[in-house]
Amino acid sequence: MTCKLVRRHLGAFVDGELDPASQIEFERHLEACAVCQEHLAFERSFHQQAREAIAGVHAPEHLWSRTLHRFDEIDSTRAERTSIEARPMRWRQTWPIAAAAAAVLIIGSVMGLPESTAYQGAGMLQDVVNLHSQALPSDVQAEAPQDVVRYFQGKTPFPVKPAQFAEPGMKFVGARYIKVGAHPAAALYYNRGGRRVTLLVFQSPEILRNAHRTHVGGRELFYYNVGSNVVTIRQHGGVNYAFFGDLDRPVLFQLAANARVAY
Amino acid sequence: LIAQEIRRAFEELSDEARAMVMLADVEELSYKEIAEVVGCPIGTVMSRLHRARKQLQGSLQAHAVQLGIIEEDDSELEDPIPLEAFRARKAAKS
Repeated sequence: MTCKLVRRHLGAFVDGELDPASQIEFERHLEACAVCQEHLAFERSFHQQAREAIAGVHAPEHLWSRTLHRFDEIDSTRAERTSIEARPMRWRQTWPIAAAAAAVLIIGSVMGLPESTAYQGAGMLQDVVNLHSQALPSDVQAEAPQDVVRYFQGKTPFPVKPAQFAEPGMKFVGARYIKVGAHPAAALYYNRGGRRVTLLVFQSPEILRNAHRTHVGGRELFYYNVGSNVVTIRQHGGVNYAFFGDLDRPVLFQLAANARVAY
Repeated sequence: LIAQEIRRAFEELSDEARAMVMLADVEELSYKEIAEVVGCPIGTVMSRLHRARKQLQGSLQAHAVQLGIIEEDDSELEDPIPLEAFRARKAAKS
């Protein structure tokens, strides 16, 4: 990855239009290149300035009528697609079953836990490993949670909202789009007293097949023991919400059980 | 002053370039959605948008160059290198 390549795609990078693999490579480069960081800062600033400067400018009538027509078509298509993909049976047919075991494996790896033979061999969530091991930045920040909803629209086949926690110590930090193998997913970052908690939102009913099951506060929870830690999973509307972080097991169970994941 | 300069430069863009900037920065459409609206490949959206933004930046950069804040860089006006080509070269090396 060269400076020239990075700078010529900074616009797409700022727009969040790079594929996840390129996004990660760009971020690696940017972390190490102070000059490109300056270019990035300029690009971001310019996007904002341009947006504000031309916000009141009216596009030609013919463009607007064509655009609005296409908006309607796109919205209709998106609504149909979302309703289809939200059906568990439909995407059971299209998603590899191996995703389930892979997800558990990588989540364990992400936590820096000892590898278990039961979890070896998976690589689908390598993006998640990279995401955590490199502490990559968020695509959207905590200042505007509504931007998170908007950011993930069209990116994931399910709506993504930052989970809400009754516990005041849980602070939403930001979120980023990732791919679990070839599948879209959302990583939501939280901070609890200086400890990171990550909520991975994705679709894979098979991941629960071999999970332990329990109830906490009347809420059904699934979990996997990974080393001395635990991955706790809530399921809602065909979407999995996997909680993991540097927290004691009872605390993580309580957080997962009490979180408002859909509202 | 910056906003005025951007608006002035925006008005000087071609209709096609203005449409790209409008759809991306005002309507905040994704590249895929823009491609659907204007009827071209996503890669074309990326390169057209890149060129349009660089034209806008050019007017600001001219001021910055005059003030000695930055150096002139003609290479920025070139089209983006396709990431696919970069990946193919990388794969060939490994």
